[in-house]
Amino acid sequence: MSSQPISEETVKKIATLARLDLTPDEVHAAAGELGKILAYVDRLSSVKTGGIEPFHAGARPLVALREDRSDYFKDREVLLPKPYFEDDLLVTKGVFTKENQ
Amino acid sequence: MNPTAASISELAKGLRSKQYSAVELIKQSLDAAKQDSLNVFITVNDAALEAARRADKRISSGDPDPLIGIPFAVKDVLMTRGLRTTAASRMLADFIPSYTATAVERLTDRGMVILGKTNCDEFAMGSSNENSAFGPVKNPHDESRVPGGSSGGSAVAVAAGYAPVSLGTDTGGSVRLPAALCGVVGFRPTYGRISRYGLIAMASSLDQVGIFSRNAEDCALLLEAMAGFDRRDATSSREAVPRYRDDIRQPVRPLTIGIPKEYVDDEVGVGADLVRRARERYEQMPNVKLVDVSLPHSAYGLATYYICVSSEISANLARYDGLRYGYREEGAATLEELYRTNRTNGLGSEPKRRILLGTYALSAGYFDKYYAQASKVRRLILQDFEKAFQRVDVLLSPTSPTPAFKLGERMTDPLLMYLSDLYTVGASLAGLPAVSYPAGMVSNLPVGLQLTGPAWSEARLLQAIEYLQPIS
Repeated sequence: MSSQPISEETVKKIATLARLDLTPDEVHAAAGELGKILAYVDRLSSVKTGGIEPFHAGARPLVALREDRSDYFKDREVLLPKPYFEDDLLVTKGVFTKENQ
Repeated sequence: MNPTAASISELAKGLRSKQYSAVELIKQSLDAAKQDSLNVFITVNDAALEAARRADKRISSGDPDPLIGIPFAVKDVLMTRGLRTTAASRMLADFIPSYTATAVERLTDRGMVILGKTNCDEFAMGSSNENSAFGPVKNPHDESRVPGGSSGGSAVAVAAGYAPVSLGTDTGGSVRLPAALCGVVGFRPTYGRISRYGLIAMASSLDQVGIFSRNAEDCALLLEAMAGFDRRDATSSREAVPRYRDDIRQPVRPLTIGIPKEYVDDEVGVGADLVRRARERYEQMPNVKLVDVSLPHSAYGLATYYICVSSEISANLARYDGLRYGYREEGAATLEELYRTNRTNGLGSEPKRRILLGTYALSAGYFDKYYAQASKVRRLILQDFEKAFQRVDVLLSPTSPTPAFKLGERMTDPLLMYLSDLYTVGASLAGLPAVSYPAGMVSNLPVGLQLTGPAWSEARLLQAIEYLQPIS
C-alpha cells in the first residue's frame, strides 16, 4: 500500500485549525500516519455514488423533537466551579492583546 | 455459590432467600475490585455500600424487581453525578459530573448498584484499551494480551467476575470487540434504542450505549430497563419497548441466517474460519437455515467509518479547551494560547490523531472527496443490509479477525489497529443492532461470533444467541 503524501506543512495547518501544538517530531510522525490512513481511505473514490443521498445518522424514523420549554437546572453552582469561575464570571484571558488591538 | 459468577436471576433469588444481602454482595465485588490486578477500574464507587443498604430495604419491603441490589460496572464515558468521570483522559482526570446519564439512572432507579467506573480507551477511541491515560487493561485469559477496546474495562469486569453485567459504549465495535476477546456477550442496540444523554460524545451519529453480560437473559433484562424514549436525547426513539426477557423465553422460531460471502470467501484467519465451522454446526440444528448473501460495499466499511468518525470527533472534541471544566494550565498569555496549551497537554495521541484526520477530511479542499463521499457510501452500506434482510433474519460474521493480541503489538501502527474493527463497523454505520457472543476458545483464548439484525430486532438477536451453541 503506497502512502499518499500529506506534507508536513499541511499537518501544521490542520493542527493550527484544531488548536493543537505539535513538536517537529509529532508533525513528522503525523504526516506519515495520516498519509498511510488516507492511502487506505482512498478506495472510497472508486465507488460510484452519483444520485446517492448522503446518510448521516442512524436515527429512525425521525429525530424526536421535545416540547419547547426550558429545563431549570437546580444546582447552578455545580456548573460554576473554581478555578474556571469566580462568582458568576468565567475566568479567562483577554481576547485582545496589545499586539492585535 | 459464588455470587460474582451467578446470573441476575440467580442473584435475585439469593437476595430474596436471604442467602446474602445486597450489602454482602457489593462488599464482595468491592473487595475484588480493590484487589484487581487487571487495571479494570479508574474509580471505585465509595457510595456503593450506601446504595446497597437502600437496596436491602427495598428487598425487605417485598419489592420483586429482580434488578434491585445487583452490582454493575459503568464505562467511564457515561456521566455519574458526584462520581468522577474521566473518559480515560487527562483532560477530564478530575471531572465530577453534575448529572447522571439516562442509561445509568434508569438502572440505579431500579435499585442496581454502581460498583465503579471502568477503564477504556481515551474518549472511547481505540480497539485495544491501550489508549488510556490510566494505563492499559489486561485480558483475564492472558495478562500479556489486550482485552480489546474501547470498553475493555467493562468487558473484563464481567469476564473476571467482578459484576454480572456492565455498561459499555459502542461506536464502531467498542462493545462487541472486547466482548469477543474476553469471552462474554456484548450487545449493541439499534441506534436510538437507548438514550445517549450523559454519554460523553465521540461520534454522535454512531455512539450507542451497549451491554456486557454472561448470557442473553441478563442482557435482555438490562436492555428492557434502559431502552425507550428520553426527551433529553433528540435521537432517542419512541419505538415501543418489548418485554425482551419474556420474548427470548418463547419457543424458537425458524431462523434464517445469512452469511455475507465478503466476510468469509478468500478470508484467512481465525474469524473467517470460525464462521465456516459455525456453519457446519448450525446446519445440523433444527429450525435453522443458512444461506449465502452479499454485502457488496463491505470492503468500504472501514474507510467510510474512519472518515465519518474522525470528522465527528474533530467537531465534538472542539469543546475541550479547559475554559469551563477539564484540564487547565495557568500561565498562558492569551486566550488562543490557553486553548492550545490545554488541548495539547490534556488530550492523548489517539484523540489528536483523529482530530487531525477529521479536520483534514472536513476542510474546504477535501470535504467532497472524503466526508461527502463517505456519507454517500454509508447509504450504500445501509442499502446492502436492507437488501440482505429481505431474505434472512440475521447475519452471521466474525466479531474480530483475530483473538486477543499482545499488549503493544499494534500501538505503533494506527492503521493495523483500525483493522481490528473490520467486521463491526458495518452495523454501526447502518445503525443496526448487533451482538457478539462467545463461540469457544482458540489456542486458549476466547473467540466470538457476531449476529447483526434489522432495526428493532433486539429480541430476535438475543433469542438466537441463546439458541446457538458455542462451536468449539
